[in-house]
Amino acid sequence: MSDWRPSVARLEDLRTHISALPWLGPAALAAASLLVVAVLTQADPYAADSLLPGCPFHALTGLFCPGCGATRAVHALIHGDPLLALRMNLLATLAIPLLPLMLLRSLRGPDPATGWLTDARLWLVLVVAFSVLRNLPLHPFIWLAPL
Amino acid sequence: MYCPNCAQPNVDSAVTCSRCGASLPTQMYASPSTPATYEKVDNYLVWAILATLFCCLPTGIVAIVYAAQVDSKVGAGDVAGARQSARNAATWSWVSLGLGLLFILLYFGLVAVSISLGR
Repeated sequence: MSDWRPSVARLEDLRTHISALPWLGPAALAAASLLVVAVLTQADPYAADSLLPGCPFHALTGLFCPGCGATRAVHALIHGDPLLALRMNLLATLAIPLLPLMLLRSLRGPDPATGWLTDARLWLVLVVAFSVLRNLPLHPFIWLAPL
Repeated sequence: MYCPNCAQPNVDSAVTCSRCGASLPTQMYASPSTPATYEKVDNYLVWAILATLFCCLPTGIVAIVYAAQVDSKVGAGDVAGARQSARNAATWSWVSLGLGLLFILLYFGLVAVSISLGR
């Protein structure tokens, strides 16, 4: 360890090593998902003394971020209530089955049939529109805000 | 490998596509950082979405913006620009992941302290 290069160069090295392992990201995601499922089968996000963290953005601003309600949505899915999950966070609930598909697609190469799915411009519009609309106190949009 | 013309999967050693007959790009060696003649730049979109929807972080939206730039620049044929945007998208995804982990560690650290102090 005599070679102490600047830490930015070391981070670049780390990134190069990690990008040479295409399965590492999906494997880490699968492990993290299992952990989340394990925690949410035990913990109750509705309990008054729940140890699950709330949204820091919501605590600071009172506004709903695009992730608000995601914990309760996953909890609802695990407990067999997909409608409640959609009500808590529509976009996150829809993304849960789509994200593994997108990862598979990026590992397998181009496929015109699902190309639109991984277009970031579509997701940018979706996320921004969702963030704005769920904070509007108007009738159809209040269904986008978590309970 | 997939045909750049019709996306038909072909064996790696194929020279022409088995469906449309288009000539396939020759792969020098299989590495994600050195794609063949047709470019597919990874935009790190999945990680940016995960950071935004499941870590509730504004930095995730920055990553999605850069991911959208990747797709725009690939569409315009600007591969070098797309790679630069992809690096930014990856950086912001990492920043989001780091902040998310930091928040969770801090949070549970505080919870542990408050429990050990008897609230």
